Amino acid sequence: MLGKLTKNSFKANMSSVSHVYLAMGIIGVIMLALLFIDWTKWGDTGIGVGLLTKILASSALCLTAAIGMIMTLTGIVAEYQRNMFGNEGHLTMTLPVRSSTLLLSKWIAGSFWVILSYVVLCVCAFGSFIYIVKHSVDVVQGNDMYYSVYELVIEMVEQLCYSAGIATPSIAVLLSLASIYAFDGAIRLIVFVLLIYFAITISNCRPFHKAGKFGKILYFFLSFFAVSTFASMITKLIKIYIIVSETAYTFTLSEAEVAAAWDLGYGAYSVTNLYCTAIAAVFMFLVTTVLIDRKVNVS
Amino acid sequence: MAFISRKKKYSPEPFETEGMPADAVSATEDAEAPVRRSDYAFKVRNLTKDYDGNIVLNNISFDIPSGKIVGLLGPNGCGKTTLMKILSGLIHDYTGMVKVDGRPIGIGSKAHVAYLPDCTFFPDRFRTIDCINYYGDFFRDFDKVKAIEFASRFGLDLNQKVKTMSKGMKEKLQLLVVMSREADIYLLDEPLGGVDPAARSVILDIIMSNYKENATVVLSTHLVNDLEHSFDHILMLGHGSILVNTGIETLRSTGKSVEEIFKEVIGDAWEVD
Repeated sequence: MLGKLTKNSFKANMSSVSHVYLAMGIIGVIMLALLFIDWTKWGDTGIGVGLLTKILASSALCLTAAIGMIMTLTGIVAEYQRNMFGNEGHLTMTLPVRSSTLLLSKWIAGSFWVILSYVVLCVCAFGSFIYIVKHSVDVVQGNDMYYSVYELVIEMVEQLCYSAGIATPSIAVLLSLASIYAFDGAIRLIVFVLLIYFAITISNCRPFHKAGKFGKILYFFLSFFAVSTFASMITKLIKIYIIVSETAYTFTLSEAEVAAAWDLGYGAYSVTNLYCTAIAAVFMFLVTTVLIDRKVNVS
Repeated sequence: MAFISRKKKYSPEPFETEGMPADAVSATEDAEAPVRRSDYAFKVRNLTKDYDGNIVLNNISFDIPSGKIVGLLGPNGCGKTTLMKILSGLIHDYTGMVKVDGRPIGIGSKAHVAYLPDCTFFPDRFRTIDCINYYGDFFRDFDKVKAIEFASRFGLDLNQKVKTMSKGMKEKLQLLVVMSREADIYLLDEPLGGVDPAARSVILDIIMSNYKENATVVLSTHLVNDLEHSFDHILMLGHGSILVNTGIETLRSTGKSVEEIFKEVIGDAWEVD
């Protein structure tokens, strides 16, 4: 049942965001095409029309990606409200499936689309930045300043580490840290989606429905604040870190070890906040399930 | 008088779990659990439901025996749809006790109840075949072949999307998927509402000739005249109370038609309607 429900939720979300991804695809193709145009044929030095066009195309891509993320969020909100508590709820809520299964299916599908839209936004923003910087560097190739994109990124990381006063980690450590932070980001987005579903669910329960559409936003921020506060309070009490070296991940409670790790070119990451956020999410999931089972009305 | 006038409110008997079938008391939430059919399709005790203080169902209690075609009658706003939604598990914030086919409302009851609401519940993006497949995916008692035959009989293109369908086509689509289930209980909320007289007889024929043998069919309607010969049992709601809950033979023994009794019982509310 979970698989079938998830498939349906996935398709429902896709139908509301597919046109945005199509627009992004078209702009991406235009940007790639612009890379192969030799603007000097038209007397451009590389910092005139060529650069301006690339900046405009990059901005358009980033803007479309940002709109895509907003539309994805509004799409999953609308789909959840319509499918659970609107007209479609007359079908969904009479299916012989547990409310936890229903909620989980929405959560999986919604999280997928939100994470995808976030990844696309990050890739577009980072890609556009590199695209413009690379263009600028290419213009001055004649001054022996040629960089590959890889070299460009590494130099930027080195400059960041220098500014922060820490040793530059190795590529292996950087990749491990990037994976951990990507996982952290994904978990937080998944929790974010659950909080949206919680807010919509509670806004369909009496007496909370009296706050109307504004109530959904209010309940979302209240739940977000509650989860964040819980995670922050526990993080202040218990600090657990992972030290990332080239060969191993080591758990520690010592902040001195963390500082030493950064000086040695290792990385460190605080896991307490993420653990607490995940625990709060499980609690919110159970609360939402109970609300669906016992409190909500399909209008 | 065989029926209860609105001046004389129905006085429910105390809810006696001792007298109920064992399965009704200890029914599990598991849809697959083998539960013996109850003698009563519905047992409702002291059910009260209000919308922001406006009481729609006021402490009502009634039993509906299994295997009957039940007419749920009453003026607009009397709580017919609310009662249907409660019985199908769409409304939760009520007080009182409700058992459907001996089961508490939950997965177990939902697996055995086929509900037809008075609104379009399929997503616009669905095609006719998607709607049929969706029902086939989630309801074990769904007969896909029968549904496709119905679609053909109604002239519905299997590849047509719901969003391109007229209101009548959507109603036919929903009716065909609901009646393609071999459910123990059918809850049909205004299936003939907004349908022309020609289509009405076809729809009525579909309903009456396709429900599972020994199933209970609850049909809410205003079209008392068209349907009174189909009913075995009448449940009239009005002013938040049960005004009539009796077999059709008892009603007919008064020498009046159901419509006449309806007008007499509902009184002013009927005229407003």
